Amino acid sequence: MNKELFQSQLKMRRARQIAIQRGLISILDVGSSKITCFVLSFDGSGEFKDSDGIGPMSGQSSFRIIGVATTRSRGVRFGEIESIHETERAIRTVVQASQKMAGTRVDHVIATFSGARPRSYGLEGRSELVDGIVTDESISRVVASSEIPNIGVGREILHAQPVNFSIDNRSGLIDPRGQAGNALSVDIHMLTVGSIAVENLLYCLQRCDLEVAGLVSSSYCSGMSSLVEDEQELGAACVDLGGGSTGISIFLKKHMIFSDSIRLGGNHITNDISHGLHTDFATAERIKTFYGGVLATGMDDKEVIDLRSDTGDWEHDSRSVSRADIIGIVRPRVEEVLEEVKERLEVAGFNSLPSQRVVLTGGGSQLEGLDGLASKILGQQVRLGRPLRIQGLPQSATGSAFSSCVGASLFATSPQDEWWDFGIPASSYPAKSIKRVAKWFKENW
Amino acid sequence: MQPLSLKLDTRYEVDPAPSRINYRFQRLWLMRSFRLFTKLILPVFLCLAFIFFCFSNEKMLNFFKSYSSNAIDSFADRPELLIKLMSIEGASQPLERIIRDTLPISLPISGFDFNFTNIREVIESLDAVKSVDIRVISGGILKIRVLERVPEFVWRKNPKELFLLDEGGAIVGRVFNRAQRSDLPFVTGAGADVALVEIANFINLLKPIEDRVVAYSRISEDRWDIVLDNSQRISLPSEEPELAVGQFLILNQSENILDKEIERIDFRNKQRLTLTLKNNEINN
Repeated sequence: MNKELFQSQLKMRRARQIAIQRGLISILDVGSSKITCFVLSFDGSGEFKDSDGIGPMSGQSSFRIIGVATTRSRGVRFGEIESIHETERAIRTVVQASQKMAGTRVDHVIATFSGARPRSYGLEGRSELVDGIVTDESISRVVASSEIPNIGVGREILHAQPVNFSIDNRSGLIDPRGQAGNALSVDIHMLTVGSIAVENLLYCLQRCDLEVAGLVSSSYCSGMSSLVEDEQELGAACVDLGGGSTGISIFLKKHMIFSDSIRLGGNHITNDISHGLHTDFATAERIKTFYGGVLATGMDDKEVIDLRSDTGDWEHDSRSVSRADIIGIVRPRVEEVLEEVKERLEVAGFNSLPSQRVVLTGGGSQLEGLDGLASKILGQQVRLGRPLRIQGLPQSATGSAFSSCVGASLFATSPQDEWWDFGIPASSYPAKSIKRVAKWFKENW
Repeated sequence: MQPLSLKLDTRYEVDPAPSRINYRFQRLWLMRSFRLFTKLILPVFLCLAFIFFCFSNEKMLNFFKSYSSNAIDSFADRPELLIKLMSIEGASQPLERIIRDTLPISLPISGFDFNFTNIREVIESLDAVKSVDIRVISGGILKIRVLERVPEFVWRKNPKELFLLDEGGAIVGRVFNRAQRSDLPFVTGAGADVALVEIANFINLLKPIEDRVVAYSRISEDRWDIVLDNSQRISLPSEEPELAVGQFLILNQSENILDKEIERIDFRNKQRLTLTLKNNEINN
């Protein structure tokens, strides 16, 4: 692991800590169809007490959302920034609006994005235990001992989370500290993304005078917010059907073990409708949201939808289609997306997990009848997931389209330990040489 | 290609967004310290600086002084606030003239410059005035209502000075000889003015021999002598002189003592009445 990454990630961690100390942080979700900004306020222990019967709820009772703004995304395709200035303007719009709602200014931001071709790697590290007992030092040593595969040019590491520890033959340990054994090994899930997309996003945030307190993969966030706790524990896949891309994340034992992204999303459905019906994009979007579906019934033939347009050609402007026609356009595309998801899940070895739960979330999951179609393709254990509720979230932002934002809010309060949180093992410090000098003195004098 | 330059033109903007300056300014404005600074500290500082500038510069200071005094004058000179007339009630002709002469004001005068306390003090310092009530009534008339002291006694303080006293002993005015106010009882001796109350206690009892009384004389600022014609004299004790007067009247009624050749009837010793005979009587 190179030092630069370490430093940049630790810098973000520090920024996050400063933001939490100040009590304000903003969450920015840069999506292909919308850009959302949340302003989070940390006000101590929150209004819920243990006596209310509500536990800490994985940290989300300690903050509340005081500002929310959403705008149409601009300059973003497939979850990647294509036109920096357009996106910057959109980010300015949401940040300003959410600050206005919150009545305060925020300097730190945790950004999530879905694109940039994420790729998952499983890393393995192994080291002998010197004292026969696991200490913090030995954990950082074992983490550092894992070998990084060649991730390719122009890519960088976004997440590197230790997901499993094992001592000798005992696997599945969450916290091995204090346990005795001969060798400690660790499994690390590493997620890499294209560095150009990250740099573009960082440039946008810097242009908006925001300090980055974290960069998170949006599929990871969606899984955090829309999978319930036992799903995260037993194993489940979260499919975030976004506008420009579809994120997949597989959780097991409360860790994300796999993440991927398909460059297909709701915008492609809109595109298909626009192509198929010869309408403009806005009308197609409207038809998709109001009449879109994936299961045609007899009733759908009778439901006639006017295709309003403004070309001046009366014949063209006064067309109408039945809902069945629209479903006929939408369904193949949705099937394509879900087939792709299935393929990726199979590649990831999802079938070998103890539970094959699939949770569909994201704005695309609001499509009517999607759960029925998805259960035919992805297996029987499919459900639609909405993000869990957090304090102060307005009703308009509780839908499944906001699951990655909510997940990033949870990430802000309780991020999982990543590689860089374990610190650099002392062996890589020059301090070792001082020790050697001391040892030499001891032996010779 | 879509023309890049057109994007700056707001007419073509589909999605409005704040400009960078707008965004930055709003973020600045949302800082509490900056808000406090612009809304409180800066204005206060500017005001203080302006005031300091004004009062540190002599020219400006003079300008402000003359400006403010002009403004006050122009307001004070309004005809609604002018006092044009003075009417004096309850004072005798000479007193009224004295008041008019002594008052340090010349009419018409503005109500702003009119000093009520000063005027009151001046009028009350006049001997003949017991109390005064000053008010300005509508129409710009200054109304002075005077309560005059009524002279009750003529007092010879020393051989040269004759004063008129009211019942409380306050000086009302001066006379040049006794004959001017022969209707009033005559009092002599130093300290007589303070002890006039004692006379008041017995002066009514002396009604029957009123025309024989020449003067009431204060002796040693301690007691009274009643001086009668025929160079007769009644010496009263310093305490409870009215009892002695009563005693004398009874004596006079029964014995007609005044018709006898007695020079002095002395009541100073309570146990013993002393009569002094006239000199030639003794010789007889």
